[in-house]
Amino acid sequence: MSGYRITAKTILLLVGLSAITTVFGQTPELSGVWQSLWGGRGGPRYPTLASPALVNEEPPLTQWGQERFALAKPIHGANPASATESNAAELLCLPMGMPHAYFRPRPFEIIQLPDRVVMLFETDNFWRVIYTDGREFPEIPLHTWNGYSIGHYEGDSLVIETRYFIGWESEQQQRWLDRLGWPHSDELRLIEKIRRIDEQTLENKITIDDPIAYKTPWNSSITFKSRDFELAEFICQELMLSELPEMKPER
Amino acid sequence: MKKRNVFIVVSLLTAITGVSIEAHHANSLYDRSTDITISGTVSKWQFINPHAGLWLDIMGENGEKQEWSAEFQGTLDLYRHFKFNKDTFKPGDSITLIGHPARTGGPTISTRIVIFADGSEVDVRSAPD
Repeated sequence: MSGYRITAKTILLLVGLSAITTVFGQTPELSGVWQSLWGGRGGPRYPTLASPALVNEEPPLTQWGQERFALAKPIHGANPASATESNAAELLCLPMGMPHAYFRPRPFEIIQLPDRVVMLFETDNFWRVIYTDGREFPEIPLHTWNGYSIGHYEGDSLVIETRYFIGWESEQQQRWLDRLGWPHSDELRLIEKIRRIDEQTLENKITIDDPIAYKTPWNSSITFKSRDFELAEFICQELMLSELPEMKPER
Repeated sequence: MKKRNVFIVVSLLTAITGVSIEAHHANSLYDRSTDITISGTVSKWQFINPHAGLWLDIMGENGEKQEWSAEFQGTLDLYRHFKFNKDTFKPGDSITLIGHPARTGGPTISTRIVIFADGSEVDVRSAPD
């Protein structure tokens, strides 16, 4: 009967493994069109990564960070600059980078594939690929506005790590984490944990780990609502065609 | 319809909560604490991003024609929420706009409400959730 016992044990083991695989191997459903909440859509006037409403204390800037934050001239916040005075990259139709782009009111779409997750952003028509095939970061980095992203699933969440951003360069070539001008360096490591908190709501818990700009890693979050419309084309450079007075700042 | 006057109705609208403009210009050239109303004839409609623009020819009280411009939000909010597109306004259309005036006093506004010739109104800042 010992053969029978082994068979039973084996079956139990296989059933157990199968159950574990079912529970932990399921990919959470995150696909769809999502949009951050702005004033008229039930959210704050404009969401930001670091504000008293979201975190209890200011980001822990290093000396390097303080000096650069002082040079930021955002068009929002406590002392907003005018569009002509501002050095916000977005006013030149330059990319906002991550995680700044999440804090725009424009929607984005998540497409989950077996070996990667694709994010399509309406703002600036840019895309982002998060590799989930187990690869490592490239040994020789290519620094970009949106960095290089690898990810994996943990229970109901997609966890993303992004490195190799183009960091803050100069007063006129700012790189911000959000529209209030919090700077980042090319050492930024962005960690995101994305999950559905209900059928209609997506949550992204964000950790900023940038030892050049911040003394310690710090956290924030942003939520997005599900949208039933399709993404469409948004070409920022049409700005150059505009004949509206405010679209023609004197530079 | 000969009353194409620039009748500037300044109303103290302090309760501008729930505004869903894209807010390119928090400290912009527009005075968001007041509204003015302008009526005239469409001369041009630029349905582009990041802000659409409408131009009106307006007859002043002295009979002089004046060109005003009106800023709108970008094309996709206008399309998704209000079904605006490149054909929403045609040259010659009679239109009334309510919006925030320029701080400089110049002939331009940031549009809040559009009143079409048939009397229908669209509050272009009221994007449903």
